[in-house]
Amino acid sequence: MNEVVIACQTLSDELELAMQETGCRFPVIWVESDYHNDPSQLRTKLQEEIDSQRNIDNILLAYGCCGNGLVGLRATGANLIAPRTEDCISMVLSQPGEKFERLKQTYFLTKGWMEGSKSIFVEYDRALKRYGEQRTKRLFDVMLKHYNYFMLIDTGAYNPADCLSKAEGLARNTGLKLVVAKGDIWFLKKLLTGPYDQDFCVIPKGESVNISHFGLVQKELSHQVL
Amino acid sequence: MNKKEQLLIKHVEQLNEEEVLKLSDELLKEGMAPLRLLDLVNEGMNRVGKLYESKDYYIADLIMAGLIFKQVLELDKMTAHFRVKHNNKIGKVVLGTVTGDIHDIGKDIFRGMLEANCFEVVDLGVDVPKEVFLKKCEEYQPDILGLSGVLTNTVDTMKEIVDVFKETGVRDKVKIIVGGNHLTKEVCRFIGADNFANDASSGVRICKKWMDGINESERRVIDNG
Repeated sequence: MNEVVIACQTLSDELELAMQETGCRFPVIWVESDYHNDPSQLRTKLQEEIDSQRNIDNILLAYGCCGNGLVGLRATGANLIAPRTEDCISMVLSQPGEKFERLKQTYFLTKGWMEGSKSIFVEYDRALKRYGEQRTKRLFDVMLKHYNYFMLIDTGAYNPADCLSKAEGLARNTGLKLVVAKGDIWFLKKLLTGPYDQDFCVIPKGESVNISHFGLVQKELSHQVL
Repeated sequence: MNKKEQLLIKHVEQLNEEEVLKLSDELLKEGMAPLRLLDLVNEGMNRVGKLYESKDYYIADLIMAGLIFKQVLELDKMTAHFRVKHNNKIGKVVLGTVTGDIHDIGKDIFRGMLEANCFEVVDLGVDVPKEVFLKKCEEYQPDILGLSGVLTNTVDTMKEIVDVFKETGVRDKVKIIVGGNHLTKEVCRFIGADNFANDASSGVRICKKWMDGINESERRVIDNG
């Protein structure tokens, strides 16, 4: 079987570690994390990458449903396989076999997330330059008014200490509390190794991703094992 | 369009808060109709939206645009105009971010634009459970229910809300619009909403079109009655 991974840059540390631990060294096409903010553009970009693959059996998508950015993708030349999960946060915080409950009032961070070119840190620095301290405070009071915590997720793929001071700085400036929580890369490891059971959306070549694949409806019908 | 009008649009586009407020006040004092001023500010807001789409602007800029817009609406002559027009509301909207989600930047911009377009809006806030949507719709009898969300799983939640309206036999009494940049035609159909919007302006356009239809059919009933 020929496999290729298409992955969001946000998950680069986690995917690298998963490949290291599983020994599955498939070629990886990295897609910029900026697409997070625009599911339509993400869909277009992913479709371009999918369409450009040749002689591949399985395309492994290191993505969640990502704002329905994956819904509508066509498996034009190979099967598509993606974790059946909402996004990269649920991907690294969920436990096998357990329903993921997203913590409320929490803004999630990982090193990959913090390094994104449109991350909240970039937003903050740019706002300071453009609007000054006082206006930036007003803007972030609005932006984060329903949040109480920044949660740095320790996925095991990077040293959280490297991110702490930066995260603490933003928490201080925005009046949020910083907490650290343990995450996991089991989902990415299973994406590389299989088996592709109920934890995955499997779209056979020639078919398209629809909302049912991500478990929104008729879970049992969309479940296939390759 | 004269130079001052063009300048106002430019200031909104460039998010120059003080200049927008100063010039708006000046134009109103010179006799500009509040609705004309609103059109100009709306045009500036549309340009901000485009700059966000083209990735030149950030989320903080959208928030700044929302703050500027709100302050323009709060200028004395604007509030006076809309207060007088209170009895001429074109429709009523109950609005909220669905349970499990606390994102409200888009919802708040949508709310502001609806109010500016003569809608009465009951904003239920964020993380609103389906029971509350149902109860508030029974209480306020809106023409339109707006369900907002950003997280992927809000699709499920939005469907549950529409379903509860169906189960209780009140689905046909209200138009339902869902809003969020994760929504597509297919997802909208799955949810069972009447329409969807990926941005505030298109949401307002849909609501206005609906109200044109509703108000027109009410007029016909009165004329024929």
